[in-house]
Amino acid sequence: MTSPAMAARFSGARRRRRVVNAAACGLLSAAVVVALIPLVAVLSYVVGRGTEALSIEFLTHSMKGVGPLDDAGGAYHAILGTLEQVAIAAVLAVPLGLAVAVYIVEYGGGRFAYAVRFLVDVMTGLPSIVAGLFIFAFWVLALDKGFSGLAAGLSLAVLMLPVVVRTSEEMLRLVPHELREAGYALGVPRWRTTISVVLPTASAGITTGVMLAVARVTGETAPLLLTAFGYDAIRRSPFEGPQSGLPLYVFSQAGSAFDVAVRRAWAGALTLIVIVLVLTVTARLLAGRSRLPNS
Amino acid sequence: MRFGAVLVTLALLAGGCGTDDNTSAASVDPELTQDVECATGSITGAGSTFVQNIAQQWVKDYAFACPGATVNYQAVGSGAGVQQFIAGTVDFGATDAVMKPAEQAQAEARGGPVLHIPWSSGAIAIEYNLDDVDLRLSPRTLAGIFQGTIRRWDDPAIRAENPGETLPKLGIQVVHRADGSGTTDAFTSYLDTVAGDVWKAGKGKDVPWPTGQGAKGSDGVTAAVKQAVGAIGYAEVSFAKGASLGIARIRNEAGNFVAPDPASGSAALAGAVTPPDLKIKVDFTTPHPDAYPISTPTWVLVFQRQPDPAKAALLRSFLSYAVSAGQQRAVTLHYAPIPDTLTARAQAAIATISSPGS
Amino acid sequence: MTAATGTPIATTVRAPSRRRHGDTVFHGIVVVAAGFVLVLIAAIAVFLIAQAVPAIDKVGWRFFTEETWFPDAEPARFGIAALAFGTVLSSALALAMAVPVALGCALFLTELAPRRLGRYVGYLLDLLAAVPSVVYGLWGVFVLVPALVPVQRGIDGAVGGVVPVFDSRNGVYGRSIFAASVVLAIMVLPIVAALAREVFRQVPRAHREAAFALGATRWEVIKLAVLPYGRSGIVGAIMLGFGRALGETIAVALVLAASFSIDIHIFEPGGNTIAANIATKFGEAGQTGRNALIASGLVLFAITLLVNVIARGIVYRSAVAAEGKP
Repeated sequence: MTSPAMAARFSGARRRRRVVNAAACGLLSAAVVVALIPLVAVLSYVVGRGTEALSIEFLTHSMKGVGPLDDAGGAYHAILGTLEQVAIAAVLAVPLGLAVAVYIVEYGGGRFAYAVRFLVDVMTGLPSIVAGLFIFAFWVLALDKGFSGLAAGLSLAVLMLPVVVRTSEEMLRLVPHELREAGYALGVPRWRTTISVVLPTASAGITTGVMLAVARVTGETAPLLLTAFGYDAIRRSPFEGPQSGLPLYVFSQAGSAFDVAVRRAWAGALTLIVIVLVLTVTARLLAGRSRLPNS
Repeated sequence: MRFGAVLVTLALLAGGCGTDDNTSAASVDPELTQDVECATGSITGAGSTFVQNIAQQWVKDYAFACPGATVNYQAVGSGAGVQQFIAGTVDFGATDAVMKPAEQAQAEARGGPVLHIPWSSGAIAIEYNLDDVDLRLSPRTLAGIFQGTIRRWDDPAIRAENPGETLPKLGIQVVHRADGSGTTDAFTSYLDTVAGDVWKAGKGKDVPWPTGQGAKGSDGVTAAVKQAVGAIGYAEVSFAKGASLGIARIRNEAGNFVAPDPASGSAALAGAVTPPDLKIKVDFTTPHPDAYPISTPTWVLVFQRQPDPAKAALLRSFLSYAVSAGQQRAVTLHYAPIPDTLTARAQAAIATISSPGS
Repeated sequence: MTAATGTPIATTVRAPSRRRHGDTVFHGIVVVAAGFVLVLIAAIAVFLIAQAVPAIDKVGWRFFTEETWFPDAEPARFGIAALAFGTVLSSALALAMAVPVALGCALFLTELAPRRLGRYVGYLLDLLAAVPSVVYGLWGVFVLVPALVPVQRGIDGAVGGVVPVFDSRNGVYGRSIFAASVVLAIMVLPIVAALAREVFRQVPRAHREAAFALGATRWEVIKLAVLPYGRSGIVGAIMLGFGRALGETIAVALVLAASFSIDIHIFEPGGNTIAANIATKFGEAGQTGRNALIASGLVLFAITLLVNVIARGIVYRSAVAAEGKP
């Protein structure tokens, strides 16, 4: 008479295991839902409030001479500033980051390469405000260059560099060894093989990485506060005097007591998010067309 | 590279079609500026957020009257305004508290004599976020709230001063400036003078606040008050009005509960002593029956000797508009016009701004 | 992280051995570029220290114990005690909220989701990470903070009397450490999830298959094969998330009501962090004030550097272990 009892206990245990399994899998799926609620909430608010406030006037006017209570002005000067600052950052960080990645992948192997790689990883965790403080201490104070769009570009470049290195490095590693060997076999020098075979093969992936890096720094506010400082009129040249930037603009308008300013903050946030998401999504689409295996 | 092309396209799109011209939306009054003797060129100023609303109006008026000149004003706060003025990165500074002797010495070592010119004055409003309550406060109760000894809106002390008002059973959220500020200097000096036995944190541009939360700028304080029911803070009147917040009536030395407005602000200033250097000291205990006691003048800082004659002329022209016809802007923007006697002395000081070339 | 110790290609592929001028130059360029990374990190430390010293000189060791922040007063009084407390508290709370959800997401993506669905959900999580912090701040202060007031009041009403942490002494809620850590949690969630996902991906297929072959359910596979294998990698991922939360500036500056005190009442408005304090005080700071802010930034730099070095160390070691095993 023992075996039915055992069987019952056995099936009871099995049922319990099945229930636990179902519950656990349910919880894991719920975690995804919980994680995506803020995304939906943030995007719907930004789109909702932003479209209400966004206008052609907003995109084409600066804040010069706009009183705190005037329902006027826009973010043109800030958009222009952000484009210039991010362009400066990209011009500096992309070639440098690519060179570092090439070193690590094509020439690395020793302790030095390991150290560089490790420090690049550590640098990805550098708080953006520290990058801003560094450029403030170095460029604005020590070199006495003052606040400018260029200073902002420098601080964004510091933040962009490790991201560019890491993504380029991963892409370069995906380039099949056979391609390099083919180059060498034809007697092409190593540097030419790198430039005309390895880099072009990885270019789609690298472009994706660079765009993601650009998207990341486009939304950075903290460094701008300490380097670009902010300005309410159009400053076309990033090389002289304080400049505004779109994230900085949103920050300052969001801190205001007046509804007209908060409206401008939402409009600015929508503009910013459109720029960042267009970059991010385009980057993903480009990645989908990559010539590399499983990138 | 493709991303480069995207950026360039964006920059090109943005390149040609933006403008600094916001005059179409601005309220300008040609009557006010008809007597302005225009100068040309460009000057930049920075400082007080207290004076920001009226200063930006003057900049706008002046730009309308004198298209050949550009005046820029950045409301970065009094502290930063003084710093930038000392460092010489701006042509004029604006502050709600006169320069400290050390600061002034530093500035004068660099650029010669510094002029403090009072160019506006205003009342500091005690702004609060409570529906349907017309708040009246004595100096001691006000000090108790900011000291943290009075923590709830239905506290007996507040009830006693507001008979007939329904005060909510709600905690008080105190909001103060998180950054150094001339407004804080004036407000804490007031508390220290009139209720020193309750208010223990002393006076200054920033003090060790016994309670409450900080916010950046007059704007930020007002925003924080607006976002929380039961909050109370202090800021220049135009901020409180602009945000449609409640403004408390404060009991003055004569025993009257007075709301801040241009008349009560001017009344407070009328009793002040004006020394030759124009560093007016406000009398927080003025016996004037209509005075709103928490009022403060605010100054523009300029070097008397300007290296560039064009800038000297533009400074004279712009500042003289501000202290004369520009004062009429005060009423609509909730500032207090400076008294006529002071205007004359301010004009005299402005006239001494000169350059070796002129 | 996937290829933490990926064998350098240079050692596996033999290039033409003949030395060429072009190769020397190119090699020189990339070495200099790599060296620049080291110089950059050193320069960050050097310049921050150089600007911080004049401020720290004025207060000495009190820099680490003082709670207030009056660097421009005479005599200067300021310190990072309250700031460091708020920074660590808000980040730790954020991690406590974000980590379970992030690990859940990572496990869902690697263990449960069909490939296609996993990819789309992964994209969405990436988007969550792509939203700029100023946008989170804007949304946080206007939408989230008011929405959290009833939540905080409810928790206070239920347990606030017994647990002082959840008590608000004058019944006021709003721009509190709790609200700030919810925003931080949202921001670090996708980062921890992405890192954890990489860790779980490295679990060898053989481990899972062995567990399945023994009749284990999906959850048992996760519990017995995936989690133990990825343990150190998960610790690394959590620490990297912690580092990120410590340094977040703008969202916290917008959401948190600045105050200077060491206070465990997480529902009461107030609190401050090193990074947010820099953002709020910078514009108004005088000479000493700026140096003092740089000094506080130096502390933040040192803390995040330490956290990141340890975290990366753990991740590297676990990656070595992963590659070492068949």
